[in-house]
Amino acid sequence: MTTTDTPETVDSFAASGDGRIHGLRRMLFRKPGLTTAAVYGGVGIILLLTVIGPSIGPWLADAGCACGWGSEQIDSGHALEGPSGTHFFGTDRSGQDVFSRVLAAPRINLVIALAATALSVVIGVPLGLLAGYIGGRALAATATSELIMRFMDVLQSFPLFVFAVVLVAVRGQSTEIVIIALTIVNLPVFARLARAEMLTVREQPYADAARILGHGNFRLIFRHLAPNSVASSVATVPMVIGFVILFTASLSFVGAGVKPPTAELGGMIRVGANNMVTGEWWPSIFPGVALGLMVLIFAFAAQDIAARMRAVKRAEGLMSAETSVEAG
Amino acid sequence: MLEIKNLTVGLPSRAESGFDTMLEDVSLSVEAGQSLGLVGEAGSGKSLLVHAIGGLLRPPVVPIGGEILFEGQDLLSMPPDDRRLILGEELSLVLPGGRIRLNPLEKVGRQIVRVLRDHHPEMAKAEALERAIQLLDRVGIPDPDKRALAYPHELSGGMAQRTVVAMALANSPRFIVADEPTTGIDVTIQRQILEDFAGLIREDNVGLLIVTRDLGIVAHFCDRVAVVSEGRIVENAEVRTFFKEQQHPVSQELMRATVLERQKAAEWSAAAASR
Ligand SMILES: Nc1ncnc2c1ncn2[C@@H]1O[C@H](COP(=O)(O)OP(=O)(O)OP(=O)(O)O)[C@@H](O)[C@H]1O
Ligand SMILES: [Mg+2]
Repeated sequence: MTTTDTPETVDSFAASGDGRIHGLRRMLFRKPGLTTAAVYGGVGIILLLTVIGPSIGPWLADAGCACGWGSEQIDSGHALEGPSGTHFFGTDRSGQDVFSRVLAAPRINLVIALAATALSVVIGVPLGLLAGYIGGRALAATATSELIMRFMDVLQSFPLFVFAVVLVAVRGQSTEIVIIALTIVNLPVFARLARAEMLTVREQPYADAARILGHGNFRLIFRHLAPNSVASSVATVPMVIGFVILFTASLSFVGAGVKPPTAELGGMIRVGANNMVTGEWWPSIFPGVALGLMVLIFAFAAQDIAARMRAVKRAEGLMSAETSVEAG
Repeated sequence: MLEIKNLTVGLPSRAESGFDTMLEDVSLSVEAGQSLGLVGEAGSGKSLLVHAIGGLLRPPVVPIGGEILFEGQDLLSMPPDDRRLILGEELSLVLPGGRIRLNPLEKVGRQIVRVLRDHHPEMAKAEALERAIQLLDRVGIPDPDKRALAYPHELSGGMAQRTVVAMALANSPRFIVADEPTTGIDVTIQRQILEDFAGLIREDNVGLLIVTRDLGIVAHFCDRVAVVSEGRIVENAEVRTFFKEQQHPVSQELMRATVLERQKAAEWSAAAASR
């Protein structure tokens, strides 16, 4: 019955025709625990505020609620009033309602963060993949790869903050410039991650297997190598978003960020900071807490995604070890 | 059909010789409708030869001399774009290792569909999927229509290796180079796959170069056998003559090892019986 008389490892799966399908994807999207639910609830609230935040103040005012007004509306007659039933978070020195501004601010912060992160992913990841794929091969290719990575070194060796401030100083204060500065700052992060993964992925046994099936370079990269090389970049996105939010606020805090009167958390903290010494804490503290919460939520989300990816990797690894066949 | 002429593979080194060779002056030829078994101890260079055929050698290991002729064309000196048209279409390789040879992020059915449609863009998706399922069935995968939707990590090691074989067979190649294609596969399925190969050789005049550690496979399925030792072909004989008498000490050693294995199995059953 057998071709060989030597005892072979019997493939028990095959022998039993067992249809055990492992729910790895289910694990990735497993039912969230309480903390996870809170984290993603937080992300949801931030997203919601991005959409409707700036309208909440005016809505409340229109609805006859005395608790605030438009986030950019100024009423110098009521400057620096403490938190009350009328102004939940008080008013700042120009009489703007802090509550409606805190609700309005996430829009600009998140738009900047998403735009800058998206841009640095869209530019950085392909550059990194390319550098990783062509590196260490023919001379011209290696040179190109090195050029890309040394350029990333240059970008990364600038003191980030000074770089961003200078860029804003030179090109003038605008949201676009802030986005560009933050994109440049984060480009090297994604380029490096993508390159490092591509370097290992291109040497994987399945890459060779794809090559001998006659798939061309283009298909090889886009189908087999790139999708397998982006996991760490993806896992890093929420962390970078958090970082960018903080960075934008810092830029605005030193006056190099978003132009007033647009409600922006760093800018609000800056305006209120002048009043801190005289005891009017509310114009700074409330946006400060909001900023801290936003960054924290994205940090937790980053951690959660990384943990899920590890769990999947581990499960895959275990299964491979269990049933893998010796490679020749 | 496949003719390897004086192939030398190695890595440039600081030694005076200029090269450290890992394959030296290897010559082999396999005609259509013929099968050659390549055997040899671990690390003798069998997989290296397969890699050379597939254009998978990468620096510092490079072909130093010789030719690999497939239907008269040298695969080594051919531009990669031309080689790509042949590989997976007329000349298929089966690499060992099972799951590690499959893209972990794609359903296996889809991977087979891609092999089909990359070489035959005119083939409709539905038709390709149907063919993929037939191929999975052909290599003995149960419930092939369900398995086609599985990811590699959802398959057992043996099923994954069978999928790799299915991909090699997809475009009905005229020559198959298989490196330990059935290692790790349940013996009954192993037989089924090898008999499938034998059928292709007999009926479709396909040529086969099969690397194996199993002289049983050679005895059952090959016309000729070549023995590799330390990067050289030390014996190349008809299977009939080889099993009668091995010329080279390495071949004799391989035979002895196989016989020993067999004795061990007998010993084990005796031991088990006496408990
Ligand atoms: N990239 C490399 N660098 C240096 N040496 C290498 C490289 N690749 C292979 N070798 C050497 O080439 C020799 C042949 O390896 P190969 O994988 O072909 O062995 P094999 O005959 O297939 O063995 P097995 O039966 O274990 O599969 C080995 O001695 C190995 O150490
Ligand atoms: Mg091998």
